[in-house]
Amino acid sequence: MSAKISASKVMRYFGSKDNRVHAVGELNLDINDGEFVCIVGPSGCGKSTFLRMVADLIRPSEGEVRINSNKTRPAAMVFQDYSIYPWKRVIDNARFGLDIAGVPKKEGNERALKYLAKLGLADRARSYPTTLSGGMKQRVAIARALAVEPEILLMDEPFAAVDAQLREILQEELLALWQADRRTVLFITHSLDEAILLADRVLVMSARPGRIIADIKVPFERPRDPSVRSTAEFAKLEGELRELLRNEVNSHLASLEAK
Amino acid sequence: MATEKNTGLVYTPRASDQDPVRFNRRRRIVETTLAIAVPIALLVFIQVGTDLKWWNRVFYPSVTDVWRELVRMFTEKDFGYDLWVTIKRLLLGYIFGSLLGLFFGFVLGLNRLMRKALEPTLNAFYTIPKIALLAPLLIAFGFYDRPVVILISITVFFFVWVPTQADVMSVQASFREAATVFGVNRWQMFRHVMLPATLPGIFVTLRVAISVAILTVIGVEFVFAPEARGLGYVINDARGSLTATVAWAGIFVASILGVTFTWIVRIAERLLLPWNKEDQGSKD
Repeated sequence: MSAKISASKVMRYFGSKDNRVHAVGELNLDINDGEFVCIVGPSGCGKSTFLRMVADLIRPSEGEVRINSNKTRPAAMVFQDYSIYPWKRVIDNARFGLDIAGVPKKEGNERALKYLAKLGLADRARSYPTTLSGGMKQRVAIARALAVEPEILLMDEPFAAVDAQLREILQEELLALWQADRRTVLFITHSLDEAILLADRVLVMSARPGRIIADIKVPFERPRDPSVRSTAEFAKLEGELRELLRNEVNSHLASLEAK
Repeated sequence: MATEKNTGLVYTPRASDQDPVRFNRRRRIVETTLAIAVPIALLVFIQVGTDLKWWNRVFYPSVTDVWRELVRMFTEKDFGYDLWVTIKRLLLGYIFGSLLGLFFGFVLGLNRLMRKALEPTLNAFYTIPKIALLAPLLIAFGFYDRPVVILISITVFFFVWVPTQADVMSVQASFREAATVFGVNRWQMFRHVMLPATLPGIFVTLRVAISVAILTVIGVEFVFAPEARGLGYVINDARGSLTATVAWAGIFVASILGVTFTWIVRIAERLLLPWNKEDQGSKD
């Protein structure tokens, strides 16, 4: 298998020289084509920073991020705060990436509508986002990202602001969509349950500066459905991950106290 | 029989909760009535106060005095022409100034290098009392409409440039980033993200700028009015002839002018920002 995304010796610092924060690094990792990878880690560990490097929103301070693609913009991103445009109707939001890619409007509308329908929003296509609930807005953002059928889908805690029941529904929808049409997905979450349910691989990051401290293969086969949650294996894996993260947070707090 | 007394807090539906449709309709009627009744009450108060000699009619004439004066001004003194030249100066200055302000607001808001290069200079000009520029402008452009229009433009420009730049710079980062990830070019970023994101703020700015433009045109005409015509000239001239009714009539017309233009901008806002309607509200 070829690596779709590979990071080698990636470091990222923020701030000026004498007040420099070492946010990320050193990161070395490969993500394969068609792989669903979840990244978990303590707050502020640089998960989002890494995602933004893959999206080319920021560059690494050292090292390189390599994307194996012929396109200039192979990724689409779903942000935590929705970031769909209140001045565009739902259908125009979902079609936005296609407009930018120069897809004819008629075809764009069909494709946007297809993904809106998959996410249960076809009847709201003509609405403005202000009339939608938070969960609906986030589904529009997902439809907007999926409509361009990106080689790489980047999701930064996409379900963080959604209530628990809706979150499970959205997870199932995403799982079904991805299994039907496998793409490379990089998904950030705080929920271990979510990570295990969705991912082929879970990467655990350390507290700042963020490094990969564990790279765990999720053993459940595809296609997968939410019933795996009730298996003993699932609980065991979740327990292991929880332990890893707890130790990481504790040692980080201890090191802060020592300072 | 022992009656059990209900202690604690009890929340029951209010009128607005029982029948929201009816409640809102009634509220709208009350609000509209108030909006019309308050200015009428004020006019009645002035009329009655003058007639009952609560104050001196020579300084504070009654509503009917001012109205009769206004009719006389239009029919006998060609006041319509004064009004027309003022509106012309006002509109030209407002439109040029606003366009220039929007242009600089966007250019400086979007481009860091331009901001660093131009902002200190513009800030230095910002602090100049614009009316002081009238003398050199008159010398340079002659005693016609043009220096007046330029002065209004300069004044409006600063009132539009500063908040527009601030609006542009405070657009939510993830709005821009979402577009960047899709690979937008500069024009697409402007057309799809920066312009619509800042339009609500821009319309507030444009409404404020109207009163600034009216203030400036009246002020300038106090000092110098081409052809000795214009609303400001008429108001100021009343000082010499000691006719308070003329001054009050002019002030009344100035306020109507402001209300009318503000209303026009509001209509444009409603047409251009369909997503921004109040009644759409969040249903979350």
